[in-house]
This record gives sequence, structure tokens and C-alpha cells, in this order.
Amino acid sequence: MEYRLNFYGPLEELFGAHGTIELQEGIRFAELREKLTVAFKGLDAYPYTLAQDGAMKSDEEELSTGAIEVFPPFSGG
Amino acid sequence: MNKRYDRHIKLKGWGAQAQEQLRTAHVVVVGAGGLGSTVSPYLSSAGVGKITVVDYDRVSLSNLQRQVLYAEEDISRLKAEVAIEKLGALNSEIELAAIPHVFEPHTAENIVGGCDLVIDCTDNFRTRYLINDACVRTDVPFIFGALYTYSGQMAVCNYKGSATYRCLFKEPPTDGVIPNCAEIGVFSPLVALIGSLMAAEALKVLADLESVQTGRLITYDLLTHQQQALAFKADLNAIARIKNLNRIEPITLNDCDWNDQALYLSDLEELKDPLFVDVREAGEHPLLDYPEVVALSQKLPNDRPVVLFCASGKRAHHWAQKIEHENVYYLKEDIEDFIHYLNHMKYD
Repeated sequence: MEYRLNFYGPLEELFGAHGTIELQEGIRFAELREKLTVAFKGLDAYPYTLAQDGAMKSDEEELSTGAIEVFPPFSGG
Repeated sequence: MNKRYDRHIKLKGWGAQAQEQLRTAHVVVVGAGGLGSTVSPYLSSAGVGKITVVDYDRVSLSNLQRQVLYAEEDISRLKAEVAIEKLGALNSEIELAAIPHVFEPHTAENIVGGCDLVIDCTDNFRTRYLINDACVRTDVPFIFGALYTYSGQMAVCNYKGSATYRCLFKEPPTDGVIPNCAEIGVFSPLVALIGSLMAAEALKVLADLESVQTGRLITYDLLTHQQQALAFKADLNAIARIKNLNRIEPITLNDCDWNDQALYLSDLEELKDPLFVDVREAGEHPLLDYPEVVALSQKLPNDRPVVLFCASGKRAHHWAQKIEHENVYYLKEDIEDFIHYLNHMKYD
């Protein structure tokens, strides 16, 4: 199915605020990371955390059908 | 006390008990820039009993757009010292301390150990991860805030066993990957907004309110007013690894081979007779006319340390890896701060 991606901060500047990716349902977030690296060139240079359904997700968790949030850390203070 | 704090004490869910807890609390604010300027006056005016401000930096002209604690007359003065003056003017009943030095691994645990809360208002990952590690090892809760142009993040960490910054972002990014405010700018009301959110959570932590938003990354975009609160869990292995270290470790930003070359203005005094090398494009403003400043095109002497600089430190970092010289460094500072250093410290 097609998943919606929301990018933030420097990732939004690189890839736009929104993107999509075609994935099998039920894959884990670890596999999603690998697929994101292939689909979005340059993403692997950034640390980021993934969230779905209002919560950050660990690599072992399975995707649901909701939009995927891709958050990098921010530096400024 | 009641009159000064009357509007807090009258709040449902606050009262004299919460106010007393503030009075006996000690908060350490690391970073007295934009976020520190916003958070610390709220702590002072609310009656937090002791506030320690840690910052090695000096006030510069480019700070005044958002660092509302400072005025033009404060330019070139140490931020930590100015900050406690201003906080003392707000509330003479509290105790204030300034630490005008870099927050470093060998002093970090001593500074935060025993305090009730640390507020991370820094603008760099090296200090952010160091605060995380020092607080984890000393069991002190901390609140971090961070900014990117019009968007901000904040979270309450390490509070009653909650998640830490490393549970969110395990390791620091490669140096220079995530730009800071000096490189890409920052919308000044965002600083006030995120700082206010941090101050709110700080007072709630100190008053031990149940509504503390721990274990949630709060994000806010001031262009769209889109706000999110995303739950994140404690990574017990990451926390145990930091707790079990024999001593706190310096934070390296992946390209650590070159981090030894990075200098802050406060490091310059340790260099003997440095030559400053401008790696910017020829004619790039502001132009610098000082005897110790030369262009990159000139032949560099091998008997003096050379310090490369540019507008933000990024290009200087790049050139530091290319130049063949036995004693080469690069300045990780905004050029305006460097000019203030040249004008007010070195040539005074």
C-alpha cells in the first residue's frame, strides 16, 4: 500500500514536507529505514526518528496504516 | 512571599505547597542564548530558589534579535554574568550563580549533580548529549529545547524514570549535518514560544504536578501552527550504558578525527600567537583588517598555529581537512562573535 511520509526540519528542505512510499503492510520499522534510504537519496546522512499514530516507533515494531513522521534532531537554541 | 507569588498561589492545582517547592529548588540552565534568555526570567520571577547559569559565550550584536535578556550595552560581556544580573533585578530573594565556562565532560557531573532540574538551552549536539549523559548518571531530570528556523522541539527527559534524549536520537549526528541558527537563521518568536513551553514544564516538574509532559516530544511549527506531542519510550539499554561508564565521556560527532581541530573563542587564549586565516570568498563581507588575519591564498608559516574561520565555521571545517599544516584549527563560531573577540578582547 502507499504510505504518506511527513518530513520535518532539514529533511523537509531536502525532500519536501510530504512524500509517499510503496510498502508491504505489516513490515517492521527497521525494514522501513532500509527502504527509505534507497528511496530518498541523502537521507542516510541524517539521524532521524520515526513516528506513527502519535508515538515514536522502535525498529522492531510493525507499521500500521497511518502516515509516517520522519523527525531529525534540531540543533539551535 | 505571598504577595509576590499571589497569582501562582491562587491557581487551582498550585497553592502554597507548590510555591514552597520552587523556593527550595536549584535549577541549572545550560546555555544563556535564545532559549536560556526566555526560560530563566520565568524561573527567577516565579521564585525558584537558586538558579545557576552556564555559558562561556559573550553577548554579540546578532544575539539581540531574539536573546531578550540582553541590551546593546551588554555587547561583549559574558552572557552568564549579565544573565544573573538581570535575573537578580527581577527577583532579589533568590540565589544566583554564573559559570562563564564551557560545559565540559570533566565538570559536567559536578555542575548538575544534586540540583533538582537542568534546562538544556544549548545550540550544539556536543553539549546536548553531554547534558543528557551527566543528568542520567546523576539522576537529575532535564528539559531540552531545540530550534530549526520556524520549528521547535522540546521534551522533559529522565524524569521519574522516563526516557532520555538518547532514547529519541541514539547518537549525535555527524558534525555540520544539522545546521544551527548562525547558519540558517531562526524566527525570534519561535525562541520565545519554545522557551515558554520549557519554562512551563520546568515549573511543573519543580512543583511535582502530575501533568508534567514527560516522555513526549513536543513539536511546534510557527509557519502553520501545527503542533504535535509524540510519545517516546525509555531505551533501558541506552540508559544503562551511560550509567555504567566509569566516567563521563567526551561527545564525538562521528567525524571525531577532526573535532580536535575545532575551537571556540574561549579556546583561543590557549594558543600561542595564532594566525587567523580567512577562508571566505575574496571580498566577502564583513571585511576584516587586523594584523593577525590573513587570506587563505597567502603562504602559511609552519611555526605558528593557524586558525581558519569563515562566516559560520562550516567552510573553515572543510578547509581544515585539506590544508597541510602541522598545527591547524578551525573556529566553530559566528563571524560577528569573532569580530567582537578581535575588537574587545584581543586588542583591548
